[in-house]
Amino acid sequence: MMLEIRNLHALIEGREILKGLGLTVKPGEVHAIMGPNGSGKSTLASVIAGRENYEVTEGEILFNNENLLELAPEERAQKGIFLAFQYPVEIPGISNATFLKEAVNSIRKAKGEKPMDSKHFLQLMQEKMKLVNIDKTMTQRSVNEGFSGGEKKRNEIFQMAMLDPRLCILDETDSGLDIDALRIVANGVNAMRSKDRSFLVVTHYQRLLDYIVPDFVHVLYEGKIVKSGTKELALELEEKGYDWIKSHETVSQ
Amino acid sequence: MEVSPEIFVEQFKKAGNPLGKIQQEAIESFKKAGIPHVKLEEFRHTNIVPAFAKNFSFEQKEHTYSAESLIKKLPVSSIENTVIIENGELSKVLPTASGIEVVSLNKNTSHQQFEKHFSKYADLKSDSLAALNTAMAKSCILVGIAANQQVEKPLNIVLISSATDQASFIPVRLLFLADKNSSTLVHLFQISASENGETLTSIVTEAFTDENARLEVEYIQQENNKSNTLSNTYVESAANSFFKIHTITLGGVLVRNKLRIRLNGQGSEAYFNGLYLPDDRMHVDNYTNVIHAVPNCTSNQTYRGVISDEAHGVFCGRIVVEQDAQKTQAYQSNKNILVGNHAMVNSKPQLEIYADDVKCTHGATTGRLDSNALFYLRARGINEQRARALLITAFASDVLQQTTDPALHQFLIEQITLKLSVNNLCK
Repeated sequence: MMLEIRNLHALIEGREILKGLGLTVKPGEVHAIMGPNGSGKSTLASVIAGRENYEVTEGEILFNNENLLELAPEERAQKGIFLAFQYPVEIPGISNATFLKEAVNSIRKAKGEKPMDSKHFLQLMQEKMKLVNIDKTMTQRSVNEGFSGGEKKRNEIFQMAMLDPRLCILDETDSGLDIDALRIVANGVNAMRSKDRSFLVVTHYQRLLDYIVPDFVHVLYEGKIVKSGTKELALELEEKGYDWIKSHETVSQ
Repeated sequence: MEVSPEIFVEQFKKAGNPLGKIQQEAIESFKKAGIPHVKLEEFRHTNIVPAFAKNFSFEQKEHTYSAESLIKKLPVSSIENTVIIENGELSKVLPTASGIEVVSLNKNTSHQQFEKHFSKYADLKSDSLAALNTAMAKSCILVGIAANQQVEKPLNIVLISSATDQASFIPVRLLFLADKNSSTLVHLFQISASENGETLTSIVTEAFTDENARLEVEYIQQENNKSNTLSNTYVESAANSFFKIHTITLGGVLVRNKLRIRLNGQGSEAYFNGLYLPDDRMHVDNYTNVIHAVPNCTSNQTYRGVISDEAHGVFCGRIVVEQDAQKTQAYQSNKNILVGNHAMVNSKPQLEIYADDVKCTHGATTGRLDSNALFYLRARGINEQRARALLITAFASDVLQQTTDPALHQFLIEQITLKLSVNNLCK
């Protein structure tokens, strides 16, 4: 099992957002997490990546049978977890290339590998840049500074490709994207699909799932997964809206 | 220990006015004003009195270090274009580019430019530290750039301070004269001869940029953690001249940089940039004073501070726009990051504007590293200490990116990275 989440409860500023969430992801699978606003989708993404302002009060997250909750965010990344941010952060004064070289070599160091030299690093960058139409000037600019919404999201996928993670979490990567940018981002993701890499695609809309076709779809509502199914579930949700889930929940309670 | 101007007065009497009768006036001014204390507005946040509470030695002793090996650690690309000043005395002038004159002067040397400019810009009446320096200096080192000279390579000036088991008081007196249409870049390095020597260096620098002259100074302060520096710089600029200084403070225990420019010719420009990274219990104070005396001049100040541990940073930026100085553009920005829980900063802009058609802006911020940015870096596998160091270096890049010489830029990045790697930034 790549990822196992059991009975996860998490708070932010004292308010409980996740209320006993469970999820299992096998290598090579693509899982979509859908749900209305405020259901806890981004919280789930942040808690897996290790954002410190969330407090986990109960439950566990195992990543390749190792307890993730004891690890710092960087240790999680070094073990192969990648979070594509909903709001990528602008960092003036550090170029994209410098930042990525630091990241690549930090992960290599954690694995006991030698740092990558400049020549190989440049080759790797050139190869991965093609995936999401990143040009050379973008790698020389400060991280995300002054990037358009589409450029920021493409840059996230570019970083993901550079770091070659095992579990990719895409947090609302489709938000703020026009259809062309969405297609580029999705193509980049699809090119990375493989039997030993898994994806957790967090999204509000079904639209993204036309391009990144999931193996499983889960509906998150009020901090719990209330419904799971295959990709058809996403279409059903699109048709009936989240009110269908809400009323369904009310009835079942 | 009692601190009194008397030890300086006694020492002054022994020295016999090597720089002429101006020294008599200077010691009188100093005696009258004394050592500046915290009750004075200019020194409100910086107590320099402890730096004077030493049993000073005033004599040059035989030294045991090798200046050459100290210089090897600096980004001084060749043995050319380098000037070594040891404890305030000019000790070596390696072949300099044509059009640059470096000489040590006193009352027995005759030099027309020296007589015209020496002690004409430092204010002995209101600045008792400039008065003390003027009284105690044994010589004045003049750096002259001849008219129309465009000096390509930077001129390296290395100030080495040393002390034995007794603390040294070191007066350094510099005079930069950039003649008409000349252009120069000066690297001024201030270093200690050893890790342990305890020093108080008083530097007064006067500079005059003549019409269309361009003078750029990159001043790197990297003394040991027992060194005190009181630097007072006075610049006078003529029409269409350009003066730029970067003050990068990486070492010392107490450093105070007073920097004053009088923009006194139309079309002249001044750029003051500063970066200070005090740690441990270090104290750094940058006090700037830009005087716009005539119309159509521009000044721009960018100061960045990273304060760690129990260190204290002070920035006070005073801009005066006189009544005639219409169409002035004056900008100032000071940003600080506090790293330790006991780190402290005082930032104070002070604008006095007497003209009505001017553009003046100022801004000051103090905060901690952005936690979102920090998480972003960590989520990419970069450990917390390194992520913090990267963010600090990025913050400093506002100033570092403006340095002119690539070799110096690289040197500074390395020195800052080294400094940050030994500090615990995760407190």
